[in-house]
Parts: sequence; structure tokens; C-alpha cells
Amino acid sequence: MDLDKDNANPTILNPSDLPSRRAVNPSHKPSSDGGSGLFDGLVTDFSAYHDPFAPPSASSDSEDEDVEEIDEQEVFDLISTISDPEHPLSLGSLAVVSLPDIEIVPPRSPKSRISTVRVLVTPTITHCSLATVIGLGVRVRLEQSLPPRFRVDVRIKEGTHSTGDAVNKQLGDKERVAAAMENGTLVGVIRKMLSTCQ
Amino acid sequence: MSDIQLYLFEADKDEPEALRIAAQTADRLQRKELRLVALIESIGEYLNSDETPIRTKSIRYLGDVLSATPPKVLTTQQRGLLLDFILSRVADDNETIGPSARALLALERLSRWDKDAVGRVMTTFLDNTNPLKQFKQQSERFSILQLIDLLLSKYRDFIRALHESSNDFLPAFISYFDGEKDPRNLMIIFSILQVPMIEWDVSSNAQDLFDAVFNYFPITFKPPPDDPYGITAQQLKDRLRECVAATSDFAPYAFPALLDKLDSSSINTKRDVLHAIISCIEGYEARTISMYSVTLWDALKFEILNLQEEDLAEQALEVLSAIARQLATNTSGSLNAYLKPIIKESNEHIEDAPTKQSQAAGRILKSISKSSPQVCDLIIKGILPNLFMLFQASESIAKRRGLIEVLNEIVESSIYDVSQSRENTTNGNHESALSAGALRAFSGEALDALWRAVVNGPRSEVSFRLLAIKGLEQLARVPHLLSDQEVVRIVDALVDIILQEEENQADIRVAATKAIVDIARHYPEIIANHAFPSLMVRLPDVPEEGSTSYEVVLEAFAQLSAENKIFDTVVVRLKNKINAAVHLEAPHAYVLALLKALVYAFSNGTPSVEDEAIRLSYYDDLVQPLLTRALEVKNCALHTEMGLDAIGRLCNIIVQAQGFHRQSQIYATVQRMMKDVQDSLRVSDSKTSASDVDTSATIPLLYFIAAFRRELVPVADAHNLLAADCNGALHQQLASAAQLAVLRRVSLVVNKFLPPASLQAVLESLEVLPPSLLSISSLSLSSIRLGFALTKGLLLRNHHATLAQYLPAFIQLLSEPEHGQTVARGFATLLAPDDLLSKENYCVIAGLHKQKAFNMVVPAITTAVRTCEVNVKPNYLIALSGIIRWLPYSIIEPELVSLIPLLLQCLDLADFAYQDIKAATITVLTAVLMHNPDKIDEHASSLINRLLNCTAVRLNTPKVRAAALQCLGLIPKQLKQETVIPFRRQATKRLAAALDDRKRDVRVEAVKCRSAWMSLDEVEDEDAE
Repeated sequence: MDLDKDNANPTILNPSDLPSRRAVNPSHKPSSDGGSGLFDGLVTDFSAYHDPFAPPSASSDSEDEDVEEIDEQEVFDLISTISDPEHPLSLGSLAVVSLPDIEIVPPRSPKSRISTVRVLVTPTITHCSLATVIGLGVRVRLEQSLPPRFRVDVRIKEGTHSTGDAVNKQLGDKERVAAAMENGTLVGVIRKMLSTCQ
Repeated sequence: MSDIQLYLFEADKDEPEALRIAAQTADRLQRKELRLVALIESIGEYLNSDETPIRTKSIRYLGDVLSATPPKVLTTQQRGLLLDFILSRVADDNETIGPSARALLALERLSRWDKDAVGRVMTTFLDNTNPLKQFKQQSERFSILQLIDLLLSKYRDFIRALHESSNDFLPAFISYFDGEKDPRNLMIIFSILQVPMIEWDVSSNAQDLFDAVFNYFPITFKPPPDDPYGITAQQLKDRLRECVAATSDFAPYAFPALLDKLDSSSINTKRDVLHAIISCIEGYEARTISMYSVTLWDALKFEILNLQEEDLAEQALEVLSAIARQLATNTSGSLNAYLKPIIKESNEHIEDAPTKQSQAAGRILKSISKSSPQVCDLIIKGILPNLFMLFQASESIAKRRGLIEVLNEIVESSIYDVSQSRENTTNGNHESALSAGALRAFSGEALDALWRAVVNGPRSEVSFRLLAIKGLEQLARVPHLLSDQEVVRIVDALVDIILQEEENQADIRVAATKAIVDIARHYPEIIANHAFPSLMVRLPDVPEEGSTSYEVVLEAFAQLSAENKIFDTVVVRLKNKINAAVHLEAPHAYVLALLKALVYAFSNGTPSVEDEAIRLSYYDDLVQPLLTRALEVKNCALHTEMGLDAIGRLCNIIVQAQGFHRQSQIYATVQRMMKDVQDSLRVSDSKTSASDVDTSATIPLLYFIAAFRRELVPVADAHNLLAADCNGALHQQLASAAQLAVLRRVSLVVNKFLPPASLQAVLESLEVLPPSLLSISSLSLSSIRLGFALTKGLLLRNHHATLAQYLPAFIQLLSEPEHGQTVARGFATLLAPDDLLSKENYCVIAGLHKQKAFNMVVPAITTAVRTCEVNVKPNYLIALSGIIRWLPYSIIEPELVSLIPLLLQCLDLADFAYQDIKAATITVLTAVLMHNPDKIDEHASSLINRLLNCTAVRLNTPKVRAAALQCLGLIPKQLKQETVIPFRRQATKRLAAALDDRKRDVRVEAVKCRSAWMSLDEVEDEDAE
């Protein structure tokens, strides 16, 4: 039994309090007028009837024209399901990552396509020895999951960790990150953390 | 040669022959040709041989002869002599022990032993062959164990007498089995040792006895691949566990030993430990358990409070609850002693709420409370005062949320245990009163706290309010707890939420609705008297222009129909509302929403039942008036296509369930409607346009035809209806809703009402069989539609004669440049599910109709596609995809070799019009990847490339892109590593583009897919290490 955890009894957020796209943007749903869609499909909707003998109408591809940009919520969804290395709990429910601490910085000049994603990580306690591993996990997840036009910048949130600067230095140093990912044990830990990602 | 010589000669070479020789000897014994003494003498010289094999075989001979000898051939005296003789061998010659044991088994089969004989056999073995492990051969030990097992099962009292007469017997007996390693033998030893454990007084040897079995814990045995005995680790584990739990005398050794092993780092060992502890608690006496209850709590709580593995925590909870259940049967002192530290520690954790451990404390309290009402009471008294004190003292919402979480767990367990106690005691007034009693002291406080959290809680605190709603619902469900006024208070609060919650808190509204529906089950009158008026006020007769706020109310209202006692009220109020809205010419959308609510009530709610069918008066009083009005009053909302469709569905639901007699009454009443519809469809003057002919009744008529039983509609009527429908479908310009109704009715009629023998003749007389229907010269969209509608109905009933005309004709038409594509798309309609063509609607649905469709269509297409012109090739692919997308995988499986190349070609269909084909094909390919990845292996390259092409934006719809990514993500897991790894670089590179897809849902799939491909590399690295 692993009793020597840094924080054996962390505070937990309830899943329904975590930011999600549904709560942020209710008009996303097909019926924005208050109904929950309970009656959908009960009666044949002839206005939406599609003749099976005709090829699908071209209208369905017009929906493809609305571009849904990658936003902070999407980044949050990517990293909130990462598991904590100490607990079988997600980083989101431990409030290690939170929506307000994610920022997408658009390209500096109109010519550049490069945006930056900045994520601030809040360790559950100030002396958490695993802060670097968590930061690394977040970084690896984002580098794998975001298109190449995004630069990833993961830091420990200011004032939440006793050795925050040192950790930040480590997380910001490409060489050191690359070296860390050569370490078999560390790769194993990170893979385990990412295995719960959806 | 004598028998023994022959036997010795054959014994190693030809076992059946040797057995035959032994049987021959036995036969001679029986016929008195051979005397027993002579037999023994003949063996004698070999028994003294210096060569072990000869001695072994000669005893084996004796054993085989005895097995072949029928009972009663040998006298009591002779048997006694034999016993003495064999036992002397056991004592003198350890090397022939196996055959000796088998000979004894054979001897015992001849006649029952007396007490003296049993005692001598047992002691001879214990005295001369102890320990058993000195015999190297597993089979030797097995024979001895079989013998001892026999003694313990047939002569249990005699062996027990041995134990009671001597203090030395049991230690020798226990040590006798020391060091056995063979699983088959262990199975017998465990079962042998269980006898003294359960039946004898073993207090002085308890530790030795316990160690004798516990030495094997945990079982880590893995059966070899070709294990002849088929013994599994689980069987060994189960038997070992039974031993450990056999007697309370083991408790002083078992609990410390098990808890010691609980510290193991192996999860499987921990699982076994917890499982064994549960067995012990169920097996040991309550008095014994009470001595260890606190120790167990101290050890097990870590598994829950510092949760590592969910299933371990669940087992630990099970243990804690089992202890409470056992102790509840013992003195209340022992129960209190157990619960006291639990309550104390839980109270401490609750103070920190909301944390991982406060949550865990809630779980612990819940599972312990569930064990019995008495325990539940004690927990409530121990926890709730502190919980409410903390609740009042804290202003933090997060903390209060954590506390409500714990409160809910406790209240929930008291709902559970009340329903249990009701089942147990029919006049369970006393017990349920008791259980509500402890909670009653706090019900006011709990209600206040939860009510305030629901009503006054900040709108943004979603989980807080959700939990509070759940809490209120649970309080209302504890029987005899709340007064009616208190329930009214809850209901009012919940109704307010449904009516007033802002839009973005849909979660809360859904929870409140669910709570009300649940409360309706227990307090239907309160809901009817208090919730209905408030909800009805919000349903106007005519809503304001553009307002749709009524939808929320309607949804809640319709869901209340789940409770039968208020179902009638719900539907009557809806009907009145519909009448008023129609009368005042409310917007069509509003009337339609009311109709939908009514359909929801009838299809998902609990209407009253009469004579095993839904009550007919719903039709007479409610639906029929609506139908009449819909048909008579033009320009009203009911008269719209969707309005008629909704009313048709209501008719279908009610009429379908009625018996033959009532259906025939209804059939008589719809004659007029049938005639009108047929008349209107017979008009075949092409100058009359759709608007001139009133086809409104055709939609409701469809639903009636669907609802009627097969034997109800006379063939002549069915024929007439089919004629009219075919005419309408071919020669009239019908609006799409009416056209659909006509075509679906065609499918229904040919499926249900025409006898198989007359189908050919009827269709011929109507001129709707190929070639008259599908000749190229007169081919039109209408005739193709009608052809497929007919085929659909025929296919479901497997009518071969007509199908053999339609299906080849359709396949032929695929090569036709003008209509080929329309025909191709029609194939998808054949097997598409249709909610009216169902068993409930009395359709004939042949079990093998999908197989039939496959056999009649797919081989023909795969052949034709090889020789067809390039420009019509897509038609064949579309038709193929249209059939196989509806087939269960097992039907496609045998033909995969020929199908996969065609499926891959479907992915090449570049035109945007083929997107649905691509999507369907990817679904099929995904299924192949899941079930038969080996079939795809050789196509890996073309599949991966095509799927990657399908992820390109603009060329593919978001649906296709997402499906392609899903399928692609399976490839690294399903195909062989050496096949996939060469594609890794290319795939991850091209998938990076998909990460930047313009649609979020596609990106989600891209992330999953890409990480599947990336992890492929890691596996490769691992191999390299």
C-alpha cells in the first residue's frame, strides 16, 4: 500500500461542476427553446424527410462551412481526463488544471500561423514532488493532440508550488523534456496517466 | 502359464489384455474353479521378488482381480484374510503402496467394512506411510488420497471415533498431508481436511490444521496448457477458502494471517484475501467475529479511504457490511463496539468535506447502514447530529455539498433497508416504523437544509443543487417519514425549478423532473393536486407569438404519465388543451407539441389496462374524437401531415393491443375512411394535381392497417386496397407524406393480408410484377418506388416465387444509365428498419429473410461488377452497400474474401453524392476489423490509404471523416504489429492534419486515432529494450 503519498486526501470537485461545453453553450443543442428533445422522433418529421431514392442533398455539407475553432474548453477537455499519478482521479476533478488557467494566444502577426497554448498547472499541495511529472504529462498530451501550428507552454501556476521556478525551467527546456522522455520509467508513468484520456 | 504369469507378461505392454486376464481369474474364482488360497499362493513368489516392478505388478494383479470379482463371491472370512494380507503389504513394502491402496479400494467395494477394519486401514497408513510426500509418484499419492477420502465420506463416525479415542491421531492425520504440491491431490486433501474442520472438536490442533491449508494461500497455480485433469486455479481457491472459513476456531490464526497478506503488493493476492475474509465472516460465529471486528475495520478502511483499485474497495465495503450484518444478530454491545470507531472516524473525515476521504466515508456509512435497519439507526444517530452541526456552522458551498453527499448516502441506505424489511415481514409495521424512527428525529432538519439548498442555492452551483434535489427525492421516498405537507413543500420547490430554471441549467431541470416523476410513484395525489395546477397554468391555450417556453412544461407533464394513477389525468388535460388550442387557432407548432406529448404519454407512460390490453375507452373518448376532428376540419393544425401522423400513431398504439373482437368492431368503423381513401387514389387522370385530391385520410389509414391483425382483413378488401394504392403510387402526383403512407401500406398489405398462394396471381392481375412494372420503356421513379415497396413486404415474409422475379430485375436495371442510380439507392430501403413493419403489428417476419436478401443479391452483384461498364460501376457498389449495411455481421462473414475488395472500392467513390455510401462502408469495415482482422491484413495498405483520404476536409462530410478516424484508430490495435508499423510514420503525419479539422467532433476522433498510432511506436520501443 502506498502510504507515502505527498497528499493522501485531496479535495475533489464534482464532475458536474467541471466546465463542459454543454453548460457553457446551451444553444449548441438542436432545440434551443428549452425543450430537452424528449419528443424528438416521436412523430415523422416530414419537413426533414429525406427521399431514400435521391442522393443526399447538398445542404448537409453546408454545415461544414461553420468552422469550430479550437478554444480553451477544448484544451481543457483534452487534459482534464489525464489521471493523477498518485490517485485514480482526473486532473480536472482535482482542480490541477482548470479552465481559467488555460489561455490560447493568437498569432502575433497576421503572417504567422503559430498560436500558443498556455496552461497553468496547480499542484494539490505546494511541495508536491510530482508536479514536474504532471506538467510533463500535460505537455505530452497537448503535443500529441494539438495540430502543429500550436506551441505548447505548460507552467506551474505562480505561488502554488515551493519550487515552482525550478519546475518551470525544466518544463520549458526542450532538451530536458526530450531527455526525460528517453527515461523508460518516466515514459511508463506518463503513459499510465494518459491511458484514461478520452 | 498361470494367470499371474500371463498378467505380468502383458501388464506393461497391453493394459486391456492384462485387465482381461485379471477378469478371467475373477471368473474362475466365481465358478469355484480357483480357490482364493491358491490365488494368493500363486502371487506369493512374485511378491517376494527383489525387483520392485514385479512386486508392484503382482499387487496390481490382485487389485484388478478384486475389482472384477462380483460381491458375495468371497466370504466374510476370506475378505478378512485379504484385508490382513494387503495391510501387511502396506506395512512391509512401501514401494508397492499405490497398487495396495487401489486393491483396498477394490476390496471395500465388495462389502462394507466394520469399525475395526476402518480403524486398522487408517492407522496402518498413518503409522507406516507418514508423511505422504515420501512417495514421489503423483499417482501413488492419488490412490492413497482416494482411499482416505472414501474412509472419510463413508465411515465418518468411525474415523471420528479414532480421533476422540486418541490425542495423537489428529496431529498425525494433519501432518500426513504435508507438502503436497499436485493440484489434483490438493483438491482431495482440502476436501478431506474440511471434515475434521467442520465436524470435529479441533480446538487443541486448530493452528496446525489451519496452517496445513493456509500454507497454500494465495493460490498462484496456472494450469498447464494440456492439463489432463482440468483443475482450475479458481476451483483450488474456492476449496481453500471453504477450509479457511470452516470453523470459528481458526479466527485467531486466520484474521492476522489474512490481514498480513493484505499488505501484499499483488492486486490478485489482495483480491483473494478480501474474498477469503468475506467467507470467514459468513462462516464464523458472530461471537468470534466481534473479537476481531475493530481490527478488521482498522485494516480494511485503507482500501476504501486511500482508494487504489475500485474493485478492492468494493470488496472491502462488502466485508465491513458483512461484519455489521453478522454482529446485528449478536449482542448489541458487540455491534456498538464495532460501529463506534467507524462513526468516530467517519465524523472526522466529514469535517474535511469535500475530500476524497469524506466521499469514502459516505460510501462506508452507506454500505454498513444497508446491512440491517438496526445498524442504520445507529449510524444515523451517530453521524447526523455532527453532520448537521457542521452544515449549519459552514458557509462554504463546497463543504455543504460534501456534507449533503454523505447525507444522501445514508438516507439512501434507509430507503433500501425499509423495502427489504417489508419483504421479510408481511406485517412489517414495527420494523419500518423503527427505521424511519431514527431518521424521523432529523427529517425536519434534513428537509430544511436540502430545501434551502435547492431554493436558495446560488444558480451557478450545479452539483450542489443537483445533490440537494436528489436528497429531497430520497427523503420523500422513505416510507412513513414525511408528512403530506412536507412532501407538498418538496413538490412545490421542484415544480418551481422546472418552471423557472434558466436555460443553461438543463441538468438541474432534468433532475427536478426525474425527482417529481419518482415522487409521483409514492404520492400520486399530491402530484395531481399540487404539481398539475402549477404546470397547467404555464400551458396557455394560445401561446404568444414565437414563444416556445411551453416545451419545458410539456416535457415534465408528459413524463408524469409514467405513474398509472395519474396517467388518465395527464392525457385528459392534454386533450382538453388540444381542443382549446385548435378552437382558438393557436399556432400549429403548439398543437403539434401537445400532440407529441400525448404520443409520448401513450408510448412511454403507463396507461390503464383492461382484459390484458390497453383500455379501449382511450380510443373511444380521446383519440377517435381527435381523428374525426382532424379529418373534418380543414385548415386546422390537426389536419397537417404531422398532426395526422401523430393521431395515426395514437390509433396504432391503442388498436394494435386489442383482441380480435374489438379490432373487428373498429374495422367496421373505418370502412368509410378506407373507401374514401381508395376512391381518391383510383383517380388516375394525370391532369388532376395533388391538391385536387384529398388524401389526408391516407396517413391515419396507414396506422390502422398496421394495427390490424392478419386474419381480420378479408383478402378481397386487401386486394382492393392494394389495387388503389398501386394505382395512386404509379399514376398520381402525391405529396411526399401521402406517397410515403401509400408505399408503406403496400408493403404492409402484401406482407400481412394476402395468402402466399394467391400473391403471384394478385400481383399479376394488378400488373405490378416484372417485366410489366419494371420494363425499361415505361420505367419511372414511381414504378421503381412501388417495386421496392412491394419487394420489401415480400422479402420480410420470404416469398421466394415473387422475389425471384423482382430482385433479378432490379439487379439487371443497375446497368441502365438513366435510372440505374435510382434503383441502386432503392436497395438500401429493402432491409431498412420500419417501425410499422414489426411483429407487434402482426407482420410476417421470416427468421432468415436477411440471409435470403444476401443470397439473392450479393453474389449476383459481385459477379456483375467485374464485367460492367465503368460508368455504371458505382451503381453496383451503391446497391451492395445498401444491402449489407443492414445485415448482421454473421451473414457477411463467410463472404468477406470477395466483399472486402468491393468495400474498398466504395471508399473510392469520390463524388460528394456518395458520402452516405462511404459512411456505411466504413461502418462495415469497422465491424470486420473488430471481428476478423486477419481478413483485412493483406489489404492493410489500401485500407489505411483510403481511410486517410477519407479524413480530408471538403471532400468528405464531417460524419465520414469522424467514422474514418474511428476505423483508422482500430487498425493499430487489431492488425498485426509487423503489418502496421511500416505505416506509422505516414499515418501520424497525415493525422496531424486531421487534428486541425474544422469540426470539433472530428478533432476528438483524430486525437484518439492519432494516440493509438503513436502508442504503436512505444510498443516497438519496448520490444527493443
